[in-house]
Amino acid sequence: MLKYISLFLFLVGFSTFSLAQNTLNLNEFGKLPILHEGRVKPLDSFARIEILKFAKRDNPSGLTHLSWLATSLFDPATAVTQKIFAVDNGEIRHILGLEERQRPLYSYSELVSGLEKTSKDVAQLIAIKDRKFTKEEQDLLSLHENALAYMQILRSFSSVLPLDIHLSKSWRERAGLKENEVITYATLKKITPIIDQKLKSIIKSKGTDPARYSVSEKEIVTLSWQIKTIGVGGGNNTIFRVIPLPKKGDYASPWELINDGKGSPSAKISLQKWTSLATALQEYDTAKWNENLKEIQQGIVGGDEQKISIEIFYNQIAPFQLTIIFFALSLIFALSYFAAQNIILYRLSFLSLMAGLIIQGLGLAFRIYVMERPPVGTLYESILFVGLVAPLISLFVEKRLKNAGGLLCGSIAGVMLGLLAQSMVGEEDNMKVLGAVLNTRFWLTTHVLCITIGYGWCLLTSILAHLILMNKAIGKSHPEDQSRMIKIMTTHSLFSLLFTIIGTILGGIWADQSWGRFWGWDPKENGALLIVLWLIWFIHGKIAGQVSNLIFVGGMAFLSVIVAVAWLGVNLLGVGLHSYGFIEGVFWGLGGFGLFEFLLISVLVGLSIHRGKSRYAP
Amino acid sequence: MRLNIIILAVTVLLGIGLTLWFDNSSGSIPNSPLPVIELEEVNQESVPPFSFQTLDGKNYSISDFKGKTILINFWATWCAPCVVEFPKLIALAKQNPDIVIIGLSSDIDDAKIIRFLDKNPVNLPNFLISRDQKRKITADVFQTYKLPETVIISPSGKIVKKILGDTDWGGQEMTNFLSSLNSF
Repeated sequence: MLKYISLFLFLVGFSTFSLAQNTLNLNEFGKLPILHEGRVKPLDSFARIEILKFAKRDNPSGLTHLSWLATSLFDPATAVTQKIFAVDNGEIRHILGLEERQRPLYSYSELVSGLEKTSKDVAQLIAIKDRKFTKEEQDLLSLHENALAYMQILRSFSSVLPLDIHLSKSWRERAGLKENEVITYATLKKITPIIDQKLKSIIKSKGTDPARYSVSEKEIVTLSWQIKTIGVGGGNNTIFRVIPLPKKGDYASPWELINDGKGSPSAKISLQKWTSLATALQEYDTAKWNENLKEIQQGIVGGDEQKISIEIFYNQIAPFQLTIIFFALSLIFALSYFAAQNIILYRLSFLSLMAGLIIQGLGLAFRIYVMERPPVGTLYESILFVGLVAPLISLFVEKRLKNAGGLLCGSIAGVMLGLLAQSMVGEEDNMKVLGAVLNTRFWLTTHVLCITIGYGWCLLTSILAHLILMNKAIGKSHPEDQSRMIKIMTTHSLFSLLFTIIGTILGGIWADQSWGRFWGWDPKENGALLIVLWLIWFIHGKIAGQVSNLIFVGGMAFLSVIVAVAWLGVNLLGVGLHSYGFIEGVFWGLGGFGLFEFLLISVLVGLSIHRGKSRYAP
Repeated sequence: MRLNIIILAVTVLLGIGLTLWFDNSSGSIPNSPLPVIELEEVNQESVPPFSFQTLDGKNYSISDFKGKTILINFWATWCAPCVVEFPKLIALAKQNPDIVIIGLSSDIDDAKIIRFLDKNPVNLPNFLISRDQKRKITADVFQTYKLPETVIISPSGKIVKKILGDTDWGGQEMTNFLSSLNSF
C-alpha cells in the first residue's frame, strides 16, 4: 500500500500552498451538493462529518472543515501534512511509533508507516469471524478504516488533476494533448488501448526482463504501470459524488464517470468546471474560483437548493446545543424564583423555556424538511423528539400549578435530554437514510411518534413525582398543595399510560405487517410492555387503595428508570430486532443512573415516612 | 376534566392529520404495469454537436440525422463483447431502416476495422462505421472509457438512454422501446 500512496503523492505534483480561507469564498463552496450515504447534502455537512470522524473534533489545529476539505480534494500533497487524525489511545500511538504530543493529532504522512506496519495484523483481525475486539484492536481497526476513507477523499479528483508524468512528443500527440496541456489520468486512459497492445507485443518478443527493453519500450512499460497504479488507487472511489447525472437527484464521483460508465456530455462539462475550481484554488484566483462555483451551481438541476440552504443554516446554528443553554437558563431562573419569589425570575424562567421549546421545535422541523420523514427514525432522533415533548407537557403542568414547579420539571427534562442527545450524537451523519423496514412514514408517524410521546410524558411524570417527594421529604409544602400535585401527577400518569399502550399496540400491528407476527417477545416489545405494566400496576394499586400515595409517587418517580431501560437499555442487549449493538459507555451510564435513582428515591421516601411519623408523634 | 378531553381529542386529530399528510406525500408506486424498458426520470440532455468521417471518406455531422432515432455505438475490434454485439446491431439496422446506427471505433488504424468488416459485412446505408481518431468523440465528448457502450438519441436530438455493455438489440423489449421513441 505504501508504494501506491508514495507514488500517488509523487505523481500529484502540486506546488505547496496554504489555503487562505478568507480570500476564497468557502461558504459558497460549502453549498455545493453531494450525494453521500444515500442522501443529497451540502459539502458543508460532508466536511463536518468527515473531519469529525478523523479528528474527533470540529476544528483540529485551527483548521476549518471547509478549508480542510478543499485542500484534501485539490491539493492532496499539502493535505497529507495536516494534523487531522486523533489517536487518543496511547497503546495505539506506541504500536504505530508515533511521538507523544500534548494534543494527540497526527498527519496522514506521519501515520503511513505505522499503518503499513500494522496492516497484516488488521487483515488477521478482520479474517476471524464473530471475534470480539479489545479496545486497542477496535481503535486500530477504526484508524485503518479512517485512513482508507481519507485516501478516498484525497484521490477523489486524481483522475482529472494534473500528474507529474513525462510523455514523449509522440505519445502526447497520440493522446491529443496540446503543447502546454497538462497530463491527467483521463487523458492517459485515452491511449490505454494503444499502450496495452504495444505492451503485449513487447512482452511477446522480449519477455518480462526490463533490461532487454529499448528506451521507448521502457517508456511504454513505465507508462502502463503508472496508469494501472493510479487506476487501482481510484478503483471503487465513490465517496465524492458531486457530478450531477441526467437522472434527477443522482450524482457520480469523478472516478465513477471513468470506471462505471456514468459519463455523459454534461458530466464532462461539470467535471471540467470542478477541475477548473481546483486550478483556481491552486492559483489563488478568487475571481476564477467564484465564477466556477457559480457555474457548477447553475449546472445542478435537482431542486435541492432550498434543502441545502436549510441544512447549512441548521449546521451553523446547532439548534440542539442552543436549546440546552435556554433550558439550563430556565432551570436557574426557576430555582432562583423558588429562593427569592421574584416574579421577574418566574417570567424569565418561562421565557427561557419557551425559547428552548421554539428552537427545539424549529430544529426538528428543519430535520423533517431535510429528511422528508418523521424525526424519530433513530435513537438519537427519538431523544431530540422527547426533548421537545417533555418540556412542552411541562407547560400544562405549570398551567395547573402556577408556582414554577412545571417550569422546573420542563427545564430539568430539557437539560437532561439535551445532554443525553449530545452524548449519543456520535461521529457520523445524524440525518441518516433509514433502512427499508423502518422507512415507512405511516408507521414512523403513528407508532414511533406515539411511543416517544409516551416516553416524554412518562419522564415528565417522573420528574414531577421527584418534586413531590422532595417537597414531602423536606416538609416545605402545604399538604393541600401536595395533594393537588399528586392529583396533577396522576392525570399525567394516565396520559403516559394512554400513549405508551397505544404506541405498543401500534408497534405490534407494524410488526405483524413487517415480520408476520404481532408479538415476538423482542426486548424492545418487552420494554414497552414493562412501562405499560408498571403504570397499570401503580395506577390500579392507587385506585384500589392497595398502594399509599407515597408509594404511588415513589413508583412514578422510578418510572424514569423503567423508561430508560425500555428506551435505551434493551438496545444494548445485542439481541432482537431493535438492537443497535452494545455500547459500553451507555451501559455504565444507564447502570449508574438506575442505582442513583434507586438510592435517591429510597432516601426521599424514607425521609418522607420519617417526617410523617414525627409530625404525628406525641 | 373537560380540558383534558379537549387536549386528547386535539392530539388524536393531529395524529390522524399528520398520518394522512405523510401518507399522501410519500409518493406511493402506482399499480399500473411497468413499461418494457423503463424510461428513467431524467433531465434529458441534447446531444452535443460533433462530426465524423466514415471509413469510405464521407463527412457527417450529428445534426444531419435530426428527426431520426440514432444509436451511437462505441466499439473496437479488440473488444470481445463489441465483436459479439456487432452482428446484432447489423440485424437491427436491417430490420429498422429508419434508425441510424453510428459505429465509432476506438481502433488505432483503419486496416483492422476493414479486416473486421470483411468478415462482418455491413453494406447498409443506415449503419455508418467511423474510426474515432484519438477517441475525441468517445472520451472527450461522451466520456466513454469502457467498451462497448451505446447511446440512444431520440428523433428530437435528446439522449434518452445509455446502454453499458453488450445488449440484446433484437429482443422484444428493445424493439418496443425504440418504437416508442418516435413519439419523443
